[in-house]
Formats: sequence, C-alpha cells, structure tokens
Amino acid sequence: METFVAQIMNGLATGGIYALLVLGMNLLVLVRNIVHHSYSHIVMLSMAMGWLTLQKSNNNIILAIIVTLISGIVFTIITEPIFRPLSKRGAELETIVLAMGVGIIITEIMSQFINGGANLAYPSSMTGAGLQINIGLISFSLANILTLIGCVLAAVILMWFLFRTREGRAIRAMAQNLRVAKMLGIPYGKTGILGFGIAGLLAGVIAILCIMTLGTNTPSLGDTFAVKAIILMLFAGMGNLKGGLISALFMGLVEAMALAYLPGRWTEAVFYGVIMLVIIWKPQGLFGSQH
Amino acid sequence: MKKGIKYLAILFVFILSMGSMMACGGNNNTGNETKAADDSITADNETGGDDAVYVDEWEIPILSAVTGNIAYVGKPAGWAAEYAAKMINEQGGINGVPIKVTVYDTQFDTAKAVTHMSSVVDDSLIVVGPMDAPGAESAGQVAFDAGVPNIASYSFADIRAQYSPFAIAYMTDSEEGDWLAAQEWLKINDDIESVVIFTCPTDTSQMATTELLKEMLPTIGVEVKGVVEVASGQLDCGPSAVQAINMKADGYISVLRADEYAKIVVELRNRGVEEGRRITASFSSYSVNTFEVAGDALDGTYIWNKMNPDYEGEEWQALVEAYQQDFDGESPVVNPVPDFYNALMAIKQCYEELGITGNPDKAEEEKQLIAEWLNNSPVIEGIQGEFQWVDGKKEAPVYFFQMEGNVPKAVTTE
Amino acid sequence: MSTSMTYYLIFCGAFIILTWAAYIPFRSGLLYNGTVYCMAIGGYFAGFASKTLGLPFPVVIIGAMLVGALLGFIPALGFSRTSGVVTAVSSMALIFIIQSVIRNMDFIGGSRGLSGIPKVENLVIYTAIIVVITGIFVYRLDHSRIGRAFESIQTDPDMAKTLGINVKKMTILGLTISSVLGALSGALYAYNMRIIYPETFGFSLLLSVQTMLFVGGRYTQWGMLLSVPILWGLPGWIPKSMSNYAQIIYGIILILVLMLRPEGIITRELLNKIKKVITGKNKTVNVNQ
Repeated sequence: METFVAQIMNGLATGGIYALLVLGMNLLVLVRNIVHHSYSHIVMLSMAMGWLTLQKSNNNIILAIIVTLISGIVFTIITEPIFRPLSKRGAELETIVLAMGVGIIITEIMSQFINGGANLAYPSSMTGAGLQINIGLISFSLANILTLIGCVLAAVILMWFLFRTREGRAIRAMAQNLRVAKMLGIPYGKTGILGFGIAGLLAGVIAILCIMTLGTNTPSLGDTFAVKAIILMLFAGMGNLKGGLISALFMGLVEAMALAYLPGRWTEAVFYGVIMLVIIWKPQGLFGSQH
Repeated sequence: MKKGIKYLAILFVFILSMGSMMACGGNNNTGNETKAADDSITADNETGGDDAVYVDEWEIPILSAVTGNIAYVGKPAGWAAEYAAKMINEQGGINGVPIKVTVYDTQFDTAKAVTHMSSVVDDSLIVVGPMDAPGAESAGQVAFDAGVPNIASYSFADIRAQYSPFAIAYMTDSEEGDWLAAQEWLKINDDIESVVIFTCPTDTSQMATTELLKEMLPTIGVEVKGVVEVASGQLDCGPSAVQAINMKADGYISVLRADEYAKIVVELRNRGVEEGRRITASFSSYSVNTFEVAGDALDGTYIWNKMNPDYEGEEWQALVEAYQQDFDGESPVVNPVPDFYNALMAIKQCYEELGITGNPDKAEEEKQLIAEWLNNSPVIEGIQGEFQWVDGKKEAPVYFFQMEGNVPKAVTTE
Repeated sequence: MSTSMTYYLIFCGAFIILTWAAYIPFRSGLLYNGTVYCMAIGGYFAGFASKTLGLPFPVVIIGAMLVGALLGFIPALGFSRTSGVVTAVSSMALIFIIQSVIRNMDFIGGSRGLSGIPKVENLVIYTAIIVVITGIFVYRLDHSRIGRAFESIQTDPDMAKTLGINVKKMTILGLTISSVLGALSGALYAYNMRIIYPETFGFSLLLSVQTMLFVGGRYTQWGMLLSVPILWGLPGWIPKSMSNYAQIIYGIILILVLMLRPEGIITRELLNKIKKVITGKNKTVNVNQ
C-alpha cells in the first residue's frame, strides 16, 4: 500500500508539470493557431538561463527566479514573429515542423554553449532537496507540493484571465472566429503578443517548478517534454484548457504506474499506445477540441 | 511522343542531380595522393630497411561523437587525439615525419559514422574511432570491407570476430570491468548476499553486462533478486527506486549512465537506503554530471572507472594541465581521454617497429601488417601504466573508487 | 567510384524514396509521420530476411514492400478518420511504439541491433534503377485520376466529397502507398548500412524527412532530388570551423524556408517555367492537368 501511495505521489508531480505545459501550449493554439512544439524547449532554455545566473551571481536564488521568468517571456515573444507568416496563412500543420526546427536550434545552443553540453545541476536550496518528508518509501519533497499547488494556481489564474477579463475574452474570440473578431475591432497584433507574453510567463513558472522537481537540466529534456506535451494536448483536445489539465495529470499517473509495475522497456509503448488508441477512437480528443 | 518527352525529362533531371552530387561530393578524395608526390626522404628508420618514408605527413582520421548526446565523452576524446598528435610531433613525429589528425564528428548517428568512415577509408592506413559502440559497429563494416585497421569501440567479442583482424578495441570490455568491480565491492562488503541490478533496456552494453552479472554472481554466492529497468532519459526515477527497494536486497548494482544513475542514487538514499556502501556504480556514470547532480547522496557509494583521474605519472599530469587550460579548469574523467592518447602512441610505436612507409603501392600490405601488429601487440607503456592487445581485446587495469561526499577516492587497483 | 561516393549516393537514393513516401500523403493534405515507422519495418524485414532466411535481394525488396503495405495499412485504417494536426501528432506515436517493440524482439537483435546483413554488389546501380522506377511511378500517380483526387481532397475535402470522391478510401490508399515506399527505403538503407539499430528510426530521422520535404518543394516530386543530396551532404560542405554548428544551420534553413518561401525551393511555378523553356509549350496550372 505504501508503494502505491508513493507511486501516486510521483505520478502527480510529473503529471502536474505536463499539465502546465499543455496549458501553455493550448493557450498558444487559441491565440495564434500554432502548435508550438518548441514551447518545452523554451522552458528548458529558461531553466538554463536561471542556471547561468546562479553561476554568475554566486547562487542568488531570487535573482535566478526573476531571470528565469523574464527569459520565459522574452524567448516566447521572440518566436512570435517567426510564426506570424504561418499564422497569417492559417497553416497550422506547418507550424509543427517550424517549431521542430526552432526546437533543434535551442537544443543545439544548449549543447554547444551552455556548460559544454553537460548537465546542469541546481543547488539543493532551490530543489528543495533538503526539505523532504520521508515516510519509509514515500518521499514527498517541498518541491512536489509546490508543483502541485503551482499547477492548480496557474490553471485557476489562467482560467480567470481567459474567462473573466476583457483581454482574455478577446483571445478566445480570436480563436473562435478570426474574421469576426477583427471586424469587432479586436487588435490582432497586440492581443497576440499578450497571449504570447502570458504563455511566456507560464513557461518561466514551469521552468522554476521543473528546477525544483527535477533538480537537473539536460539538453535532451526539451525533446522529451515536447513530444509528450504535444501528444497530450491532442489527447485532450486542442485548445481545451480544462480537458488538457485533467488528461495530463491522468497520463502522468498512468506513466508512473507503468514505470512502477511494468519492466522499464514497456513504459513508452504503453504510454503512447494508450494515447494513440484514444486519439483514433476520438479524433477530436477526449474532451473535444474547442475551436 | 509526349510521354516519351516526359520520361526523358525525368531522366534528364535525375542525371543532372546525380551529376551535381558527384561534382560537389567528390572533394573528399583529393589531395592525399598528391601530397606524397614529392618524395621527402627523411632520416632512415630504425629497422634499417631500404624503404624510406614515402609521405611528408601522416594523416590519421579520428571519428568521434563530438556533438550529440554523448558529446561530454566525444569532445574530450577528440581533444585527446589532437593533444597526442601534438606531443608526438614535438618529439619528432613518427619516423621523423609529422602527423596530422583530423577529427570527424559522427554526431552519435550511425549513418553519419558510416558516411565519414567511407570518406576516409580509401586513403588511410588506420582510423581511430568512433568511440561509441553503435557507431563503431556500423563504421567498422566499412573499414573491414576496405581492409583498414580500426581502433574503436569494439568491446564485444562477437563483433571483433566478425571484423577480425581490423577491429581493435580502444578500451577494455565493459562487462568484464563491471564484473571485476562487483567482485571487489563484494569482497569489501562481504555482508551483502543479495543484489538488485539497475540497467537500461535500450543500451546494448548495459544489457550485456546485466546478463553477465546475472550469470556470474550466483557462482560467488550472491543472489540477484531482480533487475530494475530504467529508461534512457527517464525523468522520474522514484518509481524505479521504489521497485528496487521492495525487492528487499542487501545491495544495489547500477550499470546505468550518468543521468539516470544520478537520479537513482538520490532516490534510493531518500527512500531509505541509508548506507551508501550498499550502492555501486559503473564507469559510464563516472562523470561530472553525476557528481554535481547527485552531490552528497553519493557519499559512501562505490564506483569503478577504466582510467584513474588522479594517476601519478608525469605524462598524465602534463595532459591534465593542458586539458584544464582548454576546458575551463575541468579535469578529464572519461576514459577515452587516456585511451585515445594511448591509441595514437601505440600507432607511433607500431609504425616505427614495422617500418611503415605510407607508400600507396604498398598500402594493402602495410594495412594488413598494422592490423596484425595491433591485434596481438606487445606490452605497451601507456600514459596510465601498461596495456596490451590480445586478439583485438584490450587488457588493462581498471580502478575502483569509493566516494567521499561527491569526490571519488581510489580504493584498490587490480 | 570511391567508397564515400557509393555510400553517399545510396543514402541519397534511400532518402529520396523516403521523402516521396512522405510526399504522397501530403498531396491529400496529410502530414503523415508514420513514414519512419514503415522505414523501420522495411529495414528490419530486409535485414532479417536476407540474413536469417537467406533470401536473395530482389525477393527481399518485394517482400519488404509487401510487409510494409500490410503493416502500414492497419494504422492507415485508423488514421483515415483523423485529419490535419491530429494525424501528424498521433502518427508520431507509431515511431515510439515500433522502437519499443523492436527493442523487445531479441530474434532481430533487440537493442543490440541487427548486424551482419549480407552485402549486395553494385548496390549503387540497383538503387539508381529503383529510384528511377519509383520516380516514374510517383509521376504517373501524380498525374492520374488518383493524383487529382488527392489534390482535390487537399484543396477542399467537402467539395471533393460532392464530386464523388470517397475521401476515406483515398486516404487509406495514399497512406498505404506511402507505407510501401517507406518500407522500400528502409530496405535499401539496411542493405547499405549492413547493421541497423532501433535508435536510428526515431525522431531526428522524422525531422530530417520533413525538412527535406518542405525545403525541397512540397507540392512537387522533384524538390527532393535537390534537397536530399544537399541536406544529407551538408556537413561535408560546411567549412571545418563551423562543423559544430551543422545542426543549427539545418534548423535555420528549415525556418527560413518555411517563413519566406513556404512552398519550398522547387515550386510548381518554377517547374512550369522550366518546362516552358524545354518544350516551348504553355502549361497552365490547374487541377485538371
């Protein structure tokens, strides 16, 4: 029983990170009809920026957090003009390939220039490794708790923003019908940038949570997350925020269970197999796509 | 007739592209033969033969995964080869002729390894690398077909047999090292009577080691309670650690690489494995990645390596200093560094003892001679002690360490 | 012909066929990522059949194509119901699944890879012949009723339906043909490499194929003849000092093309201009070619 609880805790923690990633990507889908495959890479790059700050400033955590958040915003906004020609053409499909290209570049930059491609370790004060609750097999750290809380908070705030504020409604309106939205005077450019900025801020937050949960950063992390996030987004239904959250958490649990009870070699097959079957059965996603 | 023109057009464009490919891609093969054209008669070599060295520069290609997932091993490997070349040239080259090494980046991709190998085999007497098993095995096929000796990652006996005598292992066989280390570990901690093995199911070398350990451990009275598989790049190693602990063994053997091992060891320590001495790791996790990431969780654990970073020898210390200058103060910890250095020194000794001339007319003969010499070599004085090749397999000592905090300290050498 | 040129040309041939395999579903608007999955199937079948079963080269090639068709047909059935982004992303899953499956099948080598695939003399010539035959096939397909059906599905699926085109059947057909080509490409690759690993047939290969398709020219079959040799030979043409940045340059090329010249380098208009010069005839670009 103890094992089971322990595994559930594990699953929720990683599931939480997937959930936030899916949230951010869904937002970008709504705003600009982009499937931003390299969103996860941006998260990773922000983590790396945070690491660089720690190195230069001698482990000043507050500064690192601020830099990470800002990097998230900056990098995401930088990618906006790259996607704009495609958005204008409504070429959703190509955005995946384009984003993959951006992803490669980011991964290469990390491998070449940042710590010579070696893994980045974060001080334990940031990873919360010191503050652990170890009840036998169950190991729950401050980081895990914060991640879960962070996910819920981020989701709630984002929902509030999208459904209760004027700008949020503008974004959703653009997603539903671009032409009408423009006719109604909703500024295409400004709203887009706002959407990107928020997604960027979310990316920064995810980066910090990742630092706390994972404790390390590797150049290939971006690819690992990117594929899972994009598939999860489809699994729930593109653009469906609430659905995305729930299914990401669920798949996090599935993954942890598979890891725990099946030999390691089948985890991936199970994970992707389940998702692929669901997608074929329900092409619109488990909860239906929202645009 | 229209159809005919269409077909003609297809063929025409195709031939055009082929033609342009040939024109552009053919550059790799120029230059080597023409260099040797002006006969530079240098000092006669020691064997006193009447063949003088034909070339005015020895070209030795080095294939390494300088970029990609194992860049932290591949880049130092390439560096070590270039450093060795520098040292050799400072001492007068091989038979008085300087050597030049060119590092080709295989990007840890087997197709690229094959491509690079194919671009160098026609003009080389010997090729060093790739230093990763899949790359070496694929590129080795090309080297074998061209009859070019290849010092690369051939740590499996069956592959060596397939490409014999042109496959020469640049490092010792990993499974043997793991088995030796495990024996040493168990000798020191003789209260450990059952173990769990951590392995990565997609890594051929690790799986081979696991099989070996499962077979051999019972013969010294240690039970293998189970094998926990950790996927490469796995983010959350908590479940794996929990799985292992639930098997209720006395000790844990990891054959994982750095990233996964660092996480596993942290999780094991967090979830109840209080004595570090119950955990031992493999040479592939001996790296800065592990030490920095796992930190103090490593205290008391054991690890072995194919090289000794603190080896007390003048040549080695000089290399370490040069390395630190080029790599921002870091010290070399991956085994390709001394091993590639040794490979080049061995090549020098080989060329000098055999009186290799580099004469293209004698190339087939000389390649065969070099391959056979290296395959069953005399005992060679390397940068970290003696080593020897027996049937292409490298025989050299391995080193065992115990961690104090996150710094390894040598325990014994065998 | 030098060793390096031989390997280079065969790789190019295999990748041209692979890109054609990606091109065909794209004609009906599908970004199908299962081409790599088919390549894996073809490659492993070829390796197994020639090494263990000892079958000769022509039999293996045909066998690989058949196996590819069969094992590609089944997912195609599933994917006929999806479209656009959904197909693209979920077909990515096929890659992971096949990699997992291969790793667990020890009789084809598992993670250790499948080694010792027998050598085929004059593989270059066979590859060239196969590429030309495939090219003719793709060309005829493009300009046939089926090809026009694909095009109309891409332009407007609903109108295609009203014109009496069975979208589902056409999609399945397109995906199956793609699987056949993918498997063929895999078989050639396996014969060239003589040793294959599951790791090869992964994400980065997928990305290479997409790049070659999009950069070369996604609406014509000639674009790959240009983009494959260039992109495959790219590391060889970059000056030594920049070789570390090969991947970055790759990514940048892809981004630039997608942003600035989205149809790829060889576009239909360009082809028409060339045709005008060669045949001196006027050809208008419309669906009813």
